[in-house]
Amino acid sequence: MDIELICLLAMLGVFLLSNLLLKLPVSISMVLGALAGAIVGGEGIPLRHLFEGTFTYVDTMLIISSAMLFMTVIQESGALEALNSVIVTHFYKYPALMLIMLMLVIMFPGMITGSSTAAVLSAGALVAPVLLLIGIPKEKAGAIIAIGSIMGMAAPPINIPAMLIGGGVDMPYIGFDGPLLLLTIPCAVFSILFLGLKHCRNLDIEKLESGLDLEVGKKYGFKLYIPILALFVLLIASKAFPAFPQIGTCLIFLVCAFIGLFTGRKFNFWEKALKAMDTTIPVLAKLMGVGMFIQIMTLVGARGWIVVSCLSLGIAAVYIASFTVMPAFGAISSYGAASVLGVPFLLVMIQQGRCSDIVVASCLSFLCCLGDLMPPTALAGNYAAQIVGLKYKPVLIHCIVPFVVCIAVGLAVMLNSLTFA
Amino acid sequence: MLMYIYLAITAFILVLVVVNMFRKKNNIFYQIDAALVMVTLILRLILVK
Amino acid sequence: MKKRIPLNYITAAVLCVIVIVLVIVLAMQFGLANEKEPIYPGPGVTDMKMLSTWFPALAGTNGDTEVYILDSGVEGASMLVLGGTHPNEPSGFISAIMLIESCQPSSGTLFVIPRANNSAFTCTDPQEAAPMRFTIDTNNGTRWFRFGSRATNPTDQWPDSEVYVHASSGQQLSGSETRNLNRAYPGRADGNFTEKVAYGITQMIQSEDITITVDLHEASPEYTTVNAIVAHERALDLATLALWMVEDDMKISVEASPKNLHGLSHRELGDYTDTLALLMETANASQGRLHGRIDSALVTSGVDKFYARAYGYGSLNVDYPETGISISERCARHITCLKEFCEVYDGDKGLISLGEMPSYDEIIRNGIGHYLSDPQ
Repeated sequence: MDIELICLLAMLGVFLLSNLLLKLPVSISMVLGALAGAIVGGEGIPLRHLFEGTFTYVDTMLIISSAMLFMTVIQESGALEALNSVIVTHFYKYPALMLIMLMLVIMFPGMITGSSTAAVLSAGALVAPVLLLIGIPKEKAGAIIAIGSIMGMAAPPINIPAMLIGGGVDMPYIGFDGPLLLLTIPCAVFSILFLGLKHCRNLDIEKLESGLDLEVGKKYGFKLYIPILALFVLLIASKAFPAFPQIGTCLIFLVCAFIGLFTGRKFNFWEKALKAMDTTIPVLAKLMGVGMFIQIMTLVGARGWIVVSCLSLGIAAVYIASFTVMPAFGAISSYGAASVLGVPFLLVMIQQGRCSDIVVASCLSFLCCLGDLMPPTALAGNYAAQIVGLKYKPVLIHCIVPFVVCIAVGLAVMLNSLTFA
Repeated sequence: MLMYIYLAITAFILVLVVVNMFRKKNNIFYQIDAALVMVTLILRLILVK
Repeated sequence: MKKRIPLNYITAAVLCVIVIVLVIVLAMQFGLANEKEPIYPGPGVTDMKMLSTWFPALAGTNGDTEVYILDSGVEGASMLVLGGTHPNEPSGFISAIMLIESCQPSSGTLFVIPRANNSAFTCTDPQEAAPMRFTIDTNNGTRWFRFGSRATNPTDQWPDSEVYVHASSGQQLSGSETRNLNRAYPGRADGNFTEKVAYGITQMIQSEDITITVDLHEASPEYTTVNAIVAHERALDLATLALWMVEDDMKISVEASPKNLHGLSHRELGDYTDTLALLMETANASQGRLHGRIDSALVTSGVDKFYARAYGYGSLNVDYPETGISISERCARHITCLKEFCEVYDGDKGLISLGEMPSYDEIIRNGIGHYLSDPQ
């Protein structure tokens, strides 16, 4: 047995033991798993390596934190309630159309930023109350947001796993839009109709209106929506026009949050910001744990063992691994899956020939994105559950069918890549 | 310039994390989580890493 | 009555102390990356200037870097060797140092930039777990060298945009490429830190009228372009001629620089300047995704059981023996090809020759350390 495998088993063993038996948080369990791997690998306690691994996520941490501050402002200013009433009162007669529109709204920030977290935290949180209001149960609403955010992350124009995979083989990020739309739009439409349609066939507008706050919208009028509009305008402008100042998603969220302080109800920003961070800290810590875990996996050779073991089984196994191991790796990091597994898998598939490299890379990136649903990290699932006020397990259960359909679509397109090229 | 704005944002988030850490009652794991996040944020803030 | 301090305040305070201790220890450890290894200029070096000579905005920044000039005194063509564009690809860096310490050109002028992206030498890539330094035995002692990051240190350039848009072409790449010097050419005077370094190098090539520019790289053994010379279309003849000369020594291929892949030295330096732009790749296990345990020994010996296995499965583009591909062999490839580029160049700018240089076999037999100065 390879020492690298022993290290990997030690890491996973300690992680699972800490998390499941000792009921420690995922973050601390990951740190303990990483420590175990380093000790078994003969590295002692490599402080530099442990903390260096966390720096992959510094930007992500800032985006998550600023998005949470933005959402808090939107909620407290009353913009969220006003927006919900507008959508419901205008579209309740056409539930399927309304659901598809809501799905596109959820996807939008993910399409622009390439991050499922940004999608869940911004549009997901805006849409969640609407979904609950039209009668969709909490756990299904959470599942819709989780799946929608992942479809947004995978959809063009920005798909970061595809860029990472492309970067690994020097393939420019050109020509991905078609294949990615082909993969994401049907899956997104199927998912929301499958999960939501049966709950909102005969909507009673009077009942709906009684659950809505129609006053806040009337009181503040259009200016309530300015921060949301500013968010969309800035996100689009910064991507569509390279000449537009590239201030980054994090700063865009904060600028819009600042605008929101003056456009609606007044509230104590400091206390609300603290509350927003209160729910965010465990998620940030989880990212720290993941960073340490991956760095130690690389240090002791466990990462190499995983990749080489997948390659050792031949081309058929690489295809199988691409829809099993790769999404599963998302439990650690979906971007990590793209870079660690996506690149060698694509190289093997290209070498074997008879496939379109762009379509295959698109499919691999799509399958990587699905990893954001994988427990225990399940970034998308976790946040979606938090938004609807649940633990993530019931939400993830409802994600299973759409998840399997997405895998099937991804695999079908990948195996017939030349047809779709 | 943008870098200094982002360092200011990092400092602001760090303050929120520290205040939350002190306020949290009866949850040592939460406090450890906060401490983990603090180390990374401080190292970036002082431009060490 | 005396008020008791709440327990949560005490635990938080204790954790704060631990955080401060950790930060101090880590700052000391990460700070070690700022120390530079000594380079001992050999008899061929006639001058040393900073890159800011050609682009003053770099002066005083972490982007400014040494340019060693080896002027033969005999008029002829000139060659620029870029080592350390990616400091996690050490054979380019070590080959550049070997030229500085032991090359004596007999005609023309050789310019060598060992640390092309100086900032990237001051950090390592998160989640790659690379060693911060590696060692090479010389004839009389052991020397250490810095192993760095593929990209500029974030303490010099931060934050990355989510998507990197290459300025002159509009090409989109992953945001992680924002700090990659070899995606920043030809650079911009008012661009970001990395673009400024690229601009400085482009300015130098233009004002010194450099005839041939060779960017020394390494690639992971599973990568498609490895053990290869990538040439701008104007440099294809030169690369092909050199290939014929070295084919008996090594397996190597010539690839034309793709026209739709922007920001790379072999594309943009060829397009924006008159230089003949070339880039070389050798196989480096320590930067790949398949390697086992990573340490200084992997960097220099290249011995890795997983890469040897992957070769057996047919997953690699290079022959990867169990004995590894050592840094001596990788440097031997670079040095031999550099020598041949000079020998076969027959343009209107005169001749260039690197003088007496060891052969491919000699470098491998004696080890690259034999051609480096002893530690002083």
